[in-house]
Amino acid sequence: MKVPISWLEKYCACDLSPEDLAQKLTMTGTAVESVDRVGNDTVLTFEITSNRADLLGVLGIAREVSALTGASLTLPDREFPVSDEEASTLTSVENKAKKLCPAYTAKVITGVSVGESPLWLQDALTAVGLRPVNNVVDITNYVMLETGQPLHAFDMDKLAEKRIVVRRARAKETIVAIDGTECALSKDDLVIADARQPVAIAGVMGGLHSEVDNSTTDILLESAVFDPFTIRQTARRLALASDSSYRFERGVTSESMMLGSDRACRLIVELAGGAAAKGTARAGAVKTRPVSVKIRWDRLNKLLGIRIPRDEALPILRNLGLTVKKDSKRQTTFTVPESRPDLTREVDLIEEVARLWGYDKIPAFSTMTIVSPEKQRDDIVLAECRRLLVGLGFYEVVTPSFVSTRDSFDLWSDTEPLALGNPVRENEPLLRKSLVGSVLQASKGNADRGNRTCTLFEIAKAYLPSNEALPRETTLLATASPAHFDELKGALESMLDSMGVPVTFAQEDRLPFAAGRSARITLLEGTVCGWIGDVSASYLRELDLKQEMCAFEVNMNEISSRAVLLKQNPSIPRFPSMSRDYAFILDEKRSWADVESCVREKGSSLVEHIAVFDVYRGEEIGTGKKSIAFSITYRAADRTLTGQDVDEVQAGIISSLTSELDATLRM
Amino acid sequence: MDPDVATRTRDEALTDIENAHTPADLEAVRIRYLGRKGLISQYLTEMGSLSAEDRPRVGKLLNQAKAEITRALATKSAGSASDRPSGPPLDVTLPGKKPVRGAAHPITRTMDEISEIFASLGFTVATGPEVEREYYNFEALNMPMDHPSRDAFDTLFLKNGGLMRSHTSTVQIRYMKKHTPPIRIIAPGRVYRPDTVDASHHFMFHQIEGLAVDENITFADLKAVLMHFAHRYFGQEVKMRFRPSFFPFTEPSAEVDISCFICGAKGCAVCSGSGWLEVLGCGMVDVNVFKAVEYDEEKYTGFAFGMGVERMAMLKHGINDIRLFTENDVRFLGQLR
Repeated sequence: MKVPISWLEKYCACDLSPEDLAQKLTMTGTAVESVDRVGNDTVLTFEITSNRADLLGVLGIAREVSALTGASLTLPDREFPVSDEEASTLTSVENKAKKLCPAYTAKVITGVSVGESPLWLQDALTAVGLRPVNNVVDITNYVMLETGQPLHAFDMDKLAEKRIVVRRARAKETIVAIDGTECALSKDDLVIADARQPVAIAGVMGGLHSEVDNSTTDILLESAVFDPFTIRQTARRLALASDSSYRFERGVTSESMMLGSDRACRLIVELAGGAAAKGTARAGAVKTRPVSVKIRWDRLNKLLGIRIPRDEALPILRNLGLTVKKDSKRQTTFTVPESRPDLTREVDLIEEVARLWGYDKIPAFSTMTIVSPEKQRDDIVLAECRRLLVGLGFYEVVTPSFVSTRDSFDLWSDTEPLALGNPVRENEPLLRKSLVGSVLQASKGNADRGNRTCTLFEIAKAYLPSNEALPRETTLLATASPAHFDELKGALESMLDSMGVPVTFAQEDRLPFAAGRSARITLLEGTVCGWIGDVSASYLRELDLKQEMCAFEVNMNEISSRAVLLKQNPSIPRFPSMSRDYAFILDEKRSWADVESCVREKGSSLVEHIAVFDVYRGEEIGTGKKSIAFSITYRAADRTLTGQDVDEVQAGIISSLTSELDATLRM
Repeated sequence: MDPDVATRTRDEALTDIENAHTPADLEAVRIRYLGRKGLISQYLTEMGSLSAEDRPRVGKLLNQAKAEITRALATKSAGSASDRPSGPPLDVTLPGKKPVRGAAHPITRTMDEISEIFASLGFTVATGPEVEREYYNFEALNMPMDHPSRDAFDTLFLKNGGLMRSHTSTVQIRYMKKHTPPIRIIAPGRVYRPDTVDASHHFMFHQIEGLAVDENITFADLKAVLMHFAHRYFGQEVKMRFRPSFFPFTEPSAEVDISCFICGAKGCAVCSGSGWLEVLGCGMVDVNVFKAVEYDEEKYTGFAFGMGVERMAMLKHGINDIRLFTENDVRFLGQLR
């Protein structure tokens, strides 16, 4: 909200320079965004928080300045000469929506001359960014900016039966607003109507038909209190925001309603001539009960952590317009002025004292006890996981939680993903059920920029639809890599080894992986905890990613709960090992897992380690066959093995492989 | 014993080393002079025959000679043909084969850094769901339905009900409902607002919010904690100021600025000439929030604060476009490692 200093000074003289005043106001909670010279004047631009509707008028700002500086407040004159006619005979107000419009007042001024506003009025409006229209309309805007009360002037001759009906709109009713937009109304919208049709969207915008123009002679001046929620709903629904709706949403008071009406009448009579009828036609009244709030002085000190003497705090509240109702050394009860509906509780008064006394005077001093924070298991494991992967040369990415249908995969759930109603990126409305699509997108983004393809990973939540209203948020780790399947699998195995979580891999097809080239990853007791594979060529084509990629995705909730955090009892073997190499020809359909389980079963405690070092296919071993070469490291915990010991075990292994897996020893 | 024996022996040894041509020769020289029964050892034992004045001097000379002979042997040995590998000369200025280094994302690193600072003050990390109910995101935080105070916290909502949380204060409410004071937590995590994406806005970003509730928590405690954080994160020289403001869930409320460390508070483009950077929102927990979680508001007081993680990282590391965090260009990620 813009306020020229010259306007402010009409109500409160201020010795301070505009910059100093702006600084003081900002440091006491009334934020000044900028101080600008406009012609001969200086304009302060305020950012007003939603709880201070009273500051949406220059008078309210002036009150604040007066409370701050101690300068006295000069209220503007509100009297005006009245004719013998009664407003209630010239018009009437019928209020059929008292819940949406608690109070409506109408004043009548007849015989006005509508024309150009005097220069001072035009300048005041242009200084704050408004365009002058004509003297009557300009006055309504001026008084709104002065008092915070929005007003509206109707050309009375254009109102059917020259009267007002405050009601809900009927379905299918429309109105052309003063800005030319045709609005389709609903029964949730409050309108100001005449005997026949809506003439204004209440609190938001007047209608074009009844607006005041150069031919107008009789004015009906509206000043009302509207229900904030209704105004807000209507303004949003019709996408019509105005200075009026802004103020009604934050709340006006019956005090400002009357002040605004009087001030506008006075100025209209003064500047546009005409005769103001006596009194007001009205419907409804806001019941105002004086609000009392008690503040306990020791509570003030306790909350702030510093002793503010009662003798310094009390005047602060008085200067804001609060009056003492009951007073004692320990507590004081104040009556709160109607202009400050935001002050209803003790803590509200404490804040007023603190902000005007100065937050900077409160020391930064703590007597909080020493406490040891608890570290959550998941946080420890995820941090370790991140460290491991970065150490393996992976780059961590953070990608948005919403994806398109193309990048949504059913790795963990085949239920329809949850969707946003108002996505910012319209083609990415789905809450992702897996991360791998997003990470591959990040790979593609990097490829498009000509970056060397790196391995990327992300640890983030996936939102798995559940039977309840909220999804099951599961923490996943997904990786996308240009490396080969065995390299990425090795990295994953390294990571899981470090965490002490053993898993098995079993071939299973799943999108977005290539058929026959992916595996389901299972924990020992059978829970599926991940997927790994080559990314399918068709998905790579959809992504327009020309690099072959591999990816895995694992469930970190499952892994974290089984991770070994404390490694204990390290032991180094005391006796030397013996290594031997083997190569077996097997049928293609036999897996390494078959071989390994055979070796371990037969070798039992003497087989310390098995390392595969080659898988060979070639004409000389026959089609449909492969040769796997591996070494076995034999070691006993309690003695040095002899050649004979190893020969014995070896014989058992070879015979088992030969008989159970139809393997042929190649060397 | 001849007092000049050390010098003489050393000279002889050096000559012998010079004349040695094979490793075997060198080894023989070593044994002759430095072996257990070698000359130096022998002379050291014979020092008993010297006078009390001569002994220290000669002992020193013998040990010096021993050191020199040892060095000369080593140098000769390293330079000998059997030690020199065959092959082309080594160009030590050629670049080495650098292994690939990975990088943690600057957002997770910033969250870790900030969490550690608060951990040192006793704050435990709390987490909660990102998909939330209206109640936790608004009503429990003193923002009733259709209140203008909600404007600043507009949300992305789901088609079938529910919304994406617009701040991590939701976690604070959930935590308070499950625990009784004393409470000291921070809640880091992703939050969402329906903002169009530009250099300073995104629909998805990260926040860290903090909450402390106990019997005697004061505004002074809040100032102290945030001061400590600012000094640890931005540097000890940074100044802080608290400006009264308004949030529906705190009263009194404040916005916190730090002195602009980029221009030394003289005024620059980053601080819009003011010399101050807004970094945090905070305040004493509003009694209506305590009512919502059924805490005795007479007995307990508390403070809460919140900061945007992207904003913190952007200020500290001189990043001027928020989109860089989700574009994940590895060159960007690698530069902030």
